[in-house]
Amino acid sequence: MGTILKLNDLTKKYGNKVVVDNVNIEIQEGEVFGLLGPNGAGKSTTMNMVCDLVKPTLGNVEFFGKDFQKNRKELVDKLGYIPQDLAIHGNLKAWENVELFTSLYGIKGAELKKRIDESLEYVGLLDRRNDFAKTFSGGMKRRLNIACAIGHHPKLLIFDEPTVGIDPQSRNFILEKIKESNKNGATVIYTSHYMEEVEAICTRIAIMDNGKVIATGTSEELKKMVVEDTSTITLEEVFLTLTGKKLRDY
Amino acid sequence: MKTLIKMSMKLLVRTKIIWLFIVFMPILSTLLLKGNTHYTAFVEEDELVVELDSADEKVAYYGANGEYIVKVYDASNTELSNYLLDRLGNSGLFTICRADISEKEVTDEFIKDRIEFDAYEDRMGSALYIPADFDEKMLEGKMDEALTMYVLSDDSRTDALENELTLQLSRIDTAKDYIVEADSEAEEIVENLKSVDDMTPEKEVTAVAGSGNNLTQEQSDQKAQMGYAFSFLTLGFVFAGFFVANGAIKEQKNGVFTRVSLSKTNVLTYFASKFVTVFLVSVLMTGVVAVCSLMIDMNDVGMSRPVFVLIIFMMGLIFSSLSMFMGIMMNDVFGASVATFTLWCMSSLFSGSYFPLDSASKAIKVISALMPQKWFLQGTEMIFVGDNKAYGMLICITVAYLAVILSLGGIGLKVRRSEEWGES
Amino acid sequence: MNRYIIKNNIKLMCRSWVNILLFVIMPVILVVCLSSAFDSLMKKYDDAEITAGYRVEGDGVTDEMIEAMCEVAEENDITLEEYTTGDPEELIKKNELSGFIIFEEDTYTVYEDKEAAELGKVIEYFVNAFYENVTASAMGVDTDSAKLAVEHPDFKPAIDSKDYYGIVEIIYFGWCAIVAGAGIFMNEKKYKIRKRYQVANLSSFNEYLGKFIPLAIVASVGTVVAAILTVVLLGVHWGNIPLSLLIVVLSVAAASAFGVMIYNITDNMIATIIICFTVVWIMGFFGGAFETYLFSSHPMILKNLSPIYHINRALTELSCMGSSDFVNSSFLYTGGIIVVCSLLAVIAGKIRKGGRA
Repeated sequence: MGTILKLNDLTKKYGNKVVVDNVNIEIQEGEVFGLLGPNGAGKSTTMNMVCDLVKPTLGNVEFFGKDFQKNRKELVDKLGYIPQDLAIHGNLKAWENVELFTSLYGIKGAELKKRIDESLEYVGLLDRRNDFAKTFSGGMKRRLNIACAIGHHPKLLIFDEPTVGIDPQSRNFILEKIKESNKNGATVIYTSHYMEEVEAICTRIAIMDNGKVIATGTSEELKKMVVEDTSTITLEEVFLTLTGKKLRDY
Repeated sequence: MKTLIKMSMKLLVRTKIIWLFIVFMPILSTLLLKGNTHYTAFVEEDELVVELDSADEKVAYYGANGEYIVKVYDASNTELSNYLLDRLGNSGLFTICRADISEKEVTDEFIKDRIEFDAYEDRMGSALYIPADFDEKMLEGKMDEALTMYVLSDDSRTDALENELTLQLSRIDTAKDYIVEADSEAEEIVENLKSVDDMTPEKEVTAVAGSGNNLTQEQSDQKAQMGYAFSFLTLGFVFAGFFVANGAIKEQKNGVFTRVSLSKTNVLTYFASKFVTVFLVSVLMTGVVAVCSLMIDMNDVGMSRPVFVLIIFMMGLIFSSLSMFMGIMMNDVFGASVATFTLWCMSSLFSGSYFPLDSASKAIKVISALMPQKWFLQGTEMIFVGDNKAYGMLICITVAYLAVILSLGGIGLKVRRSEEWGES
Repeated sequence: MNRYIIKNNIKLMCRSWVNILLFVIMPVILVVCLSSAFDSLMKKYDDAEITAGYRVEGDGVTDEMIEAMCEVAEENDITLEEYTTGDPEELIKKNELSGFIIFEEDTYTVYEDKEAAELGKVIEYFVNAFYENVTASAMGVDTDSAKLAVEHPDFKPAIDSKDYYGIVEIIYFGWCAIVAGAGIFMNEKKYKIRKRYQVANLSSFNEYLGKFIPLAIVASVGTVVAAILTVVLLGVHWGNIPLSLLIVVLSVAAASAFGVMIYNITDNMIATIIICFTVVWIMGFFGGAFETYLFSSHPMILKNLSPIYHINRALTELSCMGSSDFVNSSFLYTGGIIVVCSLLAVIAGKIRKGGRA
């Protein structure tokens, strides 16, 4: 299994403010990679640069060994992005939303129809395919949000806080589906503030603070950085130890 | 409340686009008013023949009320041809517009081109061509060569023109037989005919006003001008009010209004603060209009500058308050912008700002009475004729509209708030 | 071109009742309501039976001729009724007279009702002509053998005011096309759907087409339906139907391109609505949307700069003449606007995307 994503000296400055400072991360195929950090640490900016939504000031993003910015057309359909915001049309039906966003990757006709049903079934919304998205509950909208990003069968899925504001059942469902995607060959990058989620599904975790990656490793390895007996400490405590308890006024 | 007003004004002036409405729109509308000050043409009461500046001048403007226009290309410009045109004008049915082409080189091609232009680019009942040798032809008795009539409409009054022309030419033809002096034939013909004309009873015409004021045609045109000015100037005020509403909508959505409600400030005070903000913005805009009005000759407008500015302020205040009220009630920025524009558009149309509604149905006239512009146009009419009751009327109208808007706004906001919070 | 974006945007636009209201019902309601008012505009003289009052005061020459005058008047569809007392103005109002004449010894006064001025002028003309014919007869004037050179060249017939305003109001509302898509475009921004487009590397051109084509289609259909309603309900004549339809559709397409361009430049729908409505009002003002272009005294250069002028003129002339010299200029204008605005919209979109999300 090779490297699917490589961030090389990735830096982003807004004026004099350095938001992402020389980040170097390598993600292997088949991993579920967690990205943790306090508010304003630079996680979202890093993810935006990975998706080429924001231009890096320095550095680059390599995707399957190729510079992503330079080879965007070729590589873009291998990437699936599930934004934190619910990027769906309320006045379109569930299937119409999936159709719209899946077609952006050049899929059409019968193949598109097949993918729509597949995606909706995957997130458990097939029986609600003909309902307007605005009639869905928060959890259902989150699931539809995911369905809209997986129709083109991406190799790399980026989940940006996908479980914000939803009930435990929906959250559990989403986490199970992420594990399933990973089993089916997708590599996942997962950002969240919910430590227990990250601990439950991520094979490797990076902790960011002040724009830098301050620690990388498995959950066990990160705990070992702080204490010998890893059974006595939670990931949250590790996080607070490494980043500090001071409030971030960004 | 002072703090609320200060906060609203600060937020408003930090919205860059509002300066477009405070500064740019009054300038643009004043330019429009200035550029449009010579509205439709009008004929002086005792003017038998309208003298056009050139043959190219359009005469459609003289026919806005259904007049039968006759455009005359006069290559002759003699006493006899002028007498003929005066008689046509005096008949009362035709508006004679004369273009003096006696100095030009007139060819058949020229006349053909002019008639073709008149037929397709202008609007008139008929055109006449009086060639340079009109006098000679008439003295020779060659009436059919003396002038040519071109029928350019299917108006039934064309027959009357034909009859009148035939009569007048026949009179001239008959009068030539009574000439004594051989070398001043045309002058003698005119003299003789005029002495015959003196034998007929003298005519006086009095226009009786319908239900409105007795405006001169110039004043009617000025009133029409004001209609357009009101319309465009109020657009700026409408959107200014919308921006105040936009601020209120944001405050309701982001929870600022909730904080205000949880304080000692009640809903009505909040709404009143918005009204005061709208008032201040209206004052600002009126100030800009006042400065811009220095570019306009107020004689063309038909009223003094202070009166003009006051009218604009009162009407602007009504519209900005109304759009603010609508925006706050709708609680949706986009919907509010469409609604306020539609409201302005409809009220301008139904108020008679663009065209008179004299022959509209009763229902339309009732709707028209609800539109503020209608009353301001009426007040303008009264000011033109020197009726000082206009000022009192306009102030009462403004106060009445504001009272209704503010009451509805305050009640509406309270009701909506009760529904949201479940208060009894 | 992504047909799924176009298809779904059309669905979204059609699912909004505001669009249907604005494009289909509003202009029709307006034309219906104001159709009675429109009659007073572009007044055309209609032969009508005229009734005028008269009074003879003093012993003038008219006293002997009044009977003959009344007879001649009857022959000319004018009824003269005698009123020996009463104020002329009040008699006119009370008895719905078109005018009143008071004949005195050497003068006569014609009172004309301002609200029926043209009928009053007919009365004035009649009395004047009567006296002239009497004196001409005394002079021995022979009008029977008179010959007058009269020519009847082709001319543009006057358009009916209902047809005129029926057409221009439809065009005017068609130019507010951006409203049909405003809600959808705002939602795209609000719900970060544009981010999805960017992640999927959707080109600025395809993104523009995804907005322009649905908008042009929905707004055109709405406008055409409104036009059909004006024909069915009000009898508005559109002249050469296929050509008029093409002009209307292109007009709406141009409005759509213009609206999308402004939105791509400002990236703010409220600003877009305000700018579009203001520009459309100005173009309509000079283009004859309120005051007929024929009577307006605006300089020709301003009229010619307004695309709405060319469109209105083409359609109204097609309505009354069946042909128009302004068809070509309206095509040029609308085509030009579509091309230029599309180009600028794509460039603006590219520039914004260059800065990324």
